[in-house]
Amino acid sequence: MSSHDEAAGRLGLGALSKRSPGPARPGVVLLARRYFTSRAFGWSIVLLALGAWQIASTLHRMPQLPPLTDIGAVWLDRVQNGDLVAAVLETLRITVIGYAFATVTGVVLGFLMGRVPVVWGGAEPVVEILRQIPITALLPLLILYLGIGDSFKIVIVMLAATFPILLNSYAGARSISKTMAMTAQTFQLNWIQTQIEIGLPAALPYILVGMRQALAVTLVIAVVTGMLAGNSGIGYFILEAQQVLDVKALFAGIFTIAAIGYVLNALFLMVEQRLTRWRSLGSARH
Amino acid sequence: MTSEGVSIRVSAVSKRYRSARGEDVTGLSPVSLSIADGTLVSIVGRSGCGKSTLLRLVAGLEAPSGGGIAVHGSPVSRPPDSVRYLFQNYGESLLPWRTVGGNIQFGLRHAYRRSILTDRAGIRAVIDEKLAEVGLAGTADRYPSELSGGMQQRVAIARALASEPQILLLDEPFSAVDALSRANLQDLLLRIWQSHALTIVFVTHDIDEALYLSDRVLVLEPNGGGLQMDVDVPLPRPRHQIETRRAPAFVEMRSDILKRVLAPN
Ligand SMILES: Nc1ncnc2c1ncn2[C@@H]1O[C@H](COP(=O)(O)OP(=O)(O)O)[C@@H](O)[C@H]1O
Ligand SMILES: [Mg+2]
Repeated sequence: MSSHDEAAGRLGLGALSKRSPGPARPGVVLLARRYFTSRAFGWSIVLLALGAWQIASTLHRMPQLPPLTDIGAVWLDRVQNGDLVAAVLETLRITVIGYAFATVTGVVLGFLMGRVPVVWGGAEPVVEILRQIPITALLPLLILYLGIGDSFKIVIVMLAATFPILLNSYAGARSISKTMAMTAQTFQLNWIQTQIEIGLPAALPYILVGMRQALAVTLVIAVVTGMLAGNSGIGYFILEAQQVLDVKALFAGIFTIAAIGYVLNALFLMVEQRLTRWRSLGSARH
Repeated sequence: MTSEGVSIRVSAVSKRYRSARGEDVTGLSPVSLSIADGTLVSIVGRSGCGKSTLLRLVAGLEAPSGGGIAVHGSPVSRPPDSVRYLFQNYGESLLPWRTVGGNIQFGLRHAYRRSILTDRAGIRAVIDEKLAEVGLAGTADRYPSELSGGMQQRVAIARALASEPQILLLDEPFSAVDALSRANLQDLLLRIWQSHALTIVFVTHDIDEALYLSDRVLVLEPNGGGLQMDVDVPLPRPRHQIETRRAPAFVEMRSDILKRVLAPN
C-alpha cells in the first residue's frame, strides 16, 4: 500500500507517506507484491516498450520510427554542437521568468483576496472572467500588441501560470480555522503579524500545490510560444526538425522535453516535501 | 466602584447572535459577577447554556450586545494584554508547522511584558524551562502532530505560560483527553495556578472537575438563561484526586449542583 501512496504523492494526489513495515511474510509472494505495487513495475513497462521499439525498428527500418540508438546518436551530436543545449536554456529562461512573475502575482493577489474583503470584492469578478478565457484565444491579440519577442512569450507563460497559483493561494488563505484566528487575537498579533506568522504558513501547502500545477502548464506554454513565434527555444528546435523531416532530431527534442519536465517536477516535489514536512508526520503514524 | 483585588468584573453582560436562518438567538442573558485576583473559578452548565460565549466575551474575542466587562479595571474592547485563552480544540490552536519549541517561542515573542530575549541560548533556556514545567522535557524538537492529545494541550499551556499572562481562560480544555491524562492535567493546572499566581476561569461541563479545581463554581441556566448558582468551594488545599473527591463536603456540593442542573425547568 505504501508504495501506492507514494505514487499518489508523485502525481500530486497526496502528501508524502512513509513506507510502513508490514508483517513479515517471506518468500516470492511478498517480493512479487512489493514489485507490482511499486514504481519499479511501471519503469519495467517503459523499458520493455523501449526495447520493443528498438528491436522492431532495427529489424524493419521505417523512416517515421528510427531506432532509439540512432536517436541517441543524434541527441548526443546536437548536444555537443550546442544547439540543443541553447534551445533548452532559452525555453528554461522564458519559463523561469514567466513563472517567477506568475508566482508573485498569484500568491499576493490570491492570498489578499482570501484575507482582505475589499480585495476580494474588487478582484473576484475580474479574476473569474479572465480565467475562463483559454490562453490560446489570447495569442493572436498578444502577438499584435507585443510582437513575437521575449515580452510576448513571458506574458503568455505568466498568464497561464498565474491562475492555478492564484486560486490555490486564495483557497489556502481561506483555510485558516476560526480557532487559529482567535489564537492570533488572544496573543495580540496585529494584522501584519497574523498574516506572516499564521496566514502564510497555513496557506503554504496550498500555494505549493498551485505552483506545482503551474509548473507543468508553464513548460508546455513556453514550448508552444517558441513554436508559434518560430524563432527560439526547444519548441522551435522541434518545429525546425519537422520542416526538414529530421525525425531523429524530432524525437531527440521530444525526449529532452519529457526529461526536463520529469526532473523539474521531481525537484519541486523534493522542495515541497521539505517545506511541508510537518504535514506528513501526523498521518504517518495513523 | 474600585477595581482593588478584582481581576474581572462583568456588569450586566449579554449576547445575542443571529442564526444562519436569520433568527435571533440568545447566547447569554444579562450576567453580573466579579472574580477576585488569584482565584480559580469554574463555569459549568449544560451544552448551549452560554459558557463559551461568556468566556469569549471576557477574552475580548467577541463584543457584548449589552453591558460591559473590565479586566484589572480597564474596559475590554479588544483582547486584553494580560489574558490568554486556551481552546478546547487545541489541535487547531497550536501552529502545526512549528515544532513544540517553536510554538513556545511564539508565546514568548508575544508575551504580555515584552521581555528582551534575543540570544538563542536564553530563548532555548526558557523553552526548556516551560516544557519541564508541563512535564514535556525533551520534546522541543518534535512537531505537535507527533504528540498525543493530552501532550498537545500541555504544549498549549506551556505556550500560554511563556507569554506570562495574569489571567488564564480555559474553555473545556481537557474534555477531549482520556480520563487518566485528564487527572494529570488537572493537577498540572493547579500547580501552575499556584506557582504563577494566576487568576483562572475554567469552563467545563463536568461538575466533579469544577469542584475539584475551584475556589468557586458558577452554574449557568440552560439556553443562555444567565447565572443560576454561585457556589463557594471551601475544600482544603492542596487537593487530592482521591481524598478530595470522597470528602463529604465534596459529595454534598456535587449533589446540590447536580440537582439544580438536572431539574426540569
Ligand atoms: N457564533 C454563533 N452564532 C450563532 N449562535 C451562536 C454562536 N455561538 C454560540 N451561539 C449560540 O449561543 C448559545 C450558547 O452557546 P455556547 O456559549 O457555545 O454554549 P456552551 O459553550 O455553554 O455550550 C447556543 O444556543 C449557541 O447555539
Ligand atoms: Mg462551549
